[in-house]
Amino acid sequence: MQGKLVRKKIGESAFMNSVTEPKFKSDRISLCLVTPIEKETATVNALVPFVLRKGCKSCPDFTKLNQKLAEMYGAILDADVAKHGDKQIIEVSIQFTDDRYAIGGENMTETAAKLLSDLVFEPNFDENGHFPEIDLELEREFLIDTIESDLNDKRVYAIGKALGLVFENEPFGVKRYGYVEDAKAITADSLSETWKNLVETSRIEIFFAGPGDSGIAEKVFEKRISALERKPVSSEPFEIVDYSPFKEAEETMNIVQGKLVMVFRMGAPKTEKEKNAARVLSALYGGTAFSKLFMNVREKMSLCYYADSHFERGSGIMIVDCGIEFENREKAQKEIINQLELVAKGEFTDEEFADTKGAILNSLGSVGDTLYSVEGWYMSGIVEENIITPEEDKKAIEAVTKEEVMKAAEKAKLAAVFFLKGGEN
Amino acid sequence: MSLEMKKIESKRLGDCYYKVEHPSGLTILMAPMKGFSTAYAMFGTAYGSIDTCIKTAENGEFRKLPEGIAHYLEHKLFESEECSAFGRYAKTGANANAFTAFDRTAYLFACSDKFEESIEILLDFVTHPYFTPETVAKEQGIIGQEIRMYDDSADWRVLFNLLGALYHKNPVKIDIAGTVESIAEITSDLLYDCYNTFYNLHNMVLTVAGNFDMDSVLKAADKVLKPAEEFYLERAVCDEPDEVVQNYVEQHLPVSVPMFNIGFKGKTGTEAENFRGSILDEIFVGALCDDYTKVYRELYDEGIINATFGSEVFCGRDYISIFLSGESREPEKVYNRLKEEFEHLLEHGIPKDVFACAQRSVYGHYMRSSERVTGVATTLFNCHFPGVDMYELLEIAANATPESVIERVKSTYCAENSALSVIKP
Repeated sequence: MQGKLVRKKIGESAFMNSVTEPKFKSDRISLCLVTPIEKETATVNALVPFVLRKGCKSCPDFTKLNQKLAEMYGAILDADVAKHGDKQIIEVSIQFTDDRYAIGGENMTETAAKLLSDLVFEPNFDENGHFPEIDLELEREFLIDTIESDLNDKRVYAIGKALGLVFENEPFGVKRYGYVEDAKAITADSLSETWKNLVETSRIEIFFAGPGDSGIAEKVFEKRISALERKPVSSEPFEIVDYSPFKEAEETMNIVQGKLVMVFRMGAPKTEKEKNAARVLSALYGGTAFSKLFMNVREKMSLCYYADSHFERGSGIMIVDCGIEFENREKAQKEIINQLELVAKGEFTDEEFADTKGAILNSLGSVGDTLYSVEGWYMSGIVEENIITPEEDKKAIEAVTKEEVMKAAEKAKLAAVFFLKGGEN
Repeated sequence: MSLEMKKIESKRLGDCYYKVEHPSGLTILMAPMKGFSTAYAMFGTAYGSIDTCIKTAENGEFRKLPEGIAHYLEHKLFESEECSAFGRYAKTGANANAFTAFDRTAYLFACSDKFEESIEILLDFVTHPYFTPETVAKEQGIIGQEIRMYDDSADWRVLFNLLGALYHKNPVKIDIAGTVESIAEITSDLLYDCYNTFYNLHNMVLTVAGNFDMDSVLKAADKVLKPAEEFYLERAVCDEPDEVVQNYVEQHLPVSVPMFNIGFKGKTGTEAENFRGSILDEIFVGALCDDYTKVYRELYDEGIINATFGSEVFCGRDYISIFLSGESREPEKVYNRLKEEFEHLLEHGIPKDVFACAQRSVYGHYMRSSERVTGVATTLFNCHFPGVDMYELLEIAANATPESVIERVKSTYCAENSALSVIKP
């Protein structure tokens, strides 16, 4: 089934997903451990992919491992943690040249699948059943640096602060890489216990995309997973809050441009229809180069270079942010609110509405054209347990009405404002 | 009109593209790609931020242009008397953008539908400038905010501080967007002047890749493009010494961990020599410090580099350098160790096994870029101005030997001609 998702159960709460596409020249396999995001475990979970990346029983030496990848025509091994709604995802992926382009006709798929499986399920434990001491030390330091690196990009930093105001006690507010204090407290015992627990209890999702034979990879993973002791824990999805009391904060930093972030609660859109209306609203409002925010806050008032809005399906909020002169804060904030009110009153033309949908449809048409976007598209559906094709999504977007968008705008309520301004801190 | 269409093939990849010299003077490069839904088009000129001193008649005199004017022109070209180009693209759903680099400017779009309309918009708006004193004045605020955004960006500052340390005269050290002061000098007359000089079709290229019909590109070109006038342009040659300005530069910005960029300054050859040579330089850099080398491992285990460490060969019309970047609490130590290793490799050559890793990685990188629509259009675009065939890049990587790499690097670089740029908290 070319280009279509094939999903198959290969173990207790373990699934093999594949999209076969002969047009690509490389294949990508990702192994994801999906678990509820919780403040207590987020940090130690985030360290797991970093230590897994360092080696495994079959290839314990980090340098040898990297040599092996380089010899596979520069195969790319990624290990990271992601956040999706109320889930945390520990992901290790390998992208490699397909068998057809290997000079010696090597079986790249089998080699890559085995290596990935070894890295995740057969770590290089020492005689005490721990990850090597040096890996714990170095990667814990790197985790702390990664947590703190939010500061390096002021836009990211300001958005993080604004979300912190909104989601004080909700799982959506838990930070992707966790917290410095928790990272410092990680021990050899707690780390290996966490790995054991993740392998035992989390949902395992394997994703294969590319021209290669996913069946070869499937055999490798099925065999390995059947040998695991699995006790999957299912969790109830977190209920999205409709509204929360307004909060506001400011911070001073030695910078030259102010960063304004405004977060809106959307009244907890639950149905697909409501979520799609919020998506179209966000695009119309600040998601394109002909949107309300772009045309007014940037083009008409020349206040900023960027003023964007973005709807987050998983947590049901809309984020607006822009970079401005410090003294223009009031002016910008007022106009951002004003534009949303105008949309709620239906002050947008049929043409703007149709063009906005056109932009969304056009980008949906490109989902199948990179391995990365194919995986990203289906994995978010898989994690949300609501798998649809880009074509089905196109139909749903087409069906959104002007009234639904107005309604979505009306339901939007400002939940938090964060402003990062210049000066001595 | 029937045009000669030259087919260029790669046996290694099983791919091909077509080259047309359009009677208007424009070179058109097209790579239809089976199975893809997206089309990606780039229309651009060999004009960038470094073109600050020019002569447009053989017996004329050299003139200086304000810093940042190429980038300003890129912003303003999106406007016309009736409707902005973004407004026109809104009707087709295409995702459009543009960028100004050191030695080129490009206008681009991606779409999965209505390609015929979008390609016509692209060719039309780029060939029809419209600037008035009012529209030019309006952009000061927007670009002013873009410049401020970069002033706060540690990634951007660490790079431009490095360029300032490496280059005495080469305008590559000037910020692409200029400064708030330099852009204040820009007038509509000056924009027309630059436009008429650099946006001559003989100085431009159109590249298209992915899902499109080649006839529709040629039809749009026939319809929109008028034969270009004769083209004469001389750029002031800067006589840049081999030595650097200073070996060390630092700046304090709010960041979590110190960031560094190391630059090894190369002797420039012709644009084509730089471009071809950069592939061998990439193999050298891999052998110098990629994650499969001993040096990488040592620095990593000492905890003075982490997974953010990376490399890049920075090359263009009259500049070439090797850049290494990352986070480190001891950047001087990293710099000194890499300088030593640089000299060691030049003296003792590259070990066979390390060379195999480096060569295969670079080869895999170029091979994988041929499976992405954006990758193919971008590579075609980048190869055009130096006059290099896109498929040659892969052959250069495949045919490299440890000896050819060392010979190239010896004739271009010297470990002493280098600098370290650091951003400290």
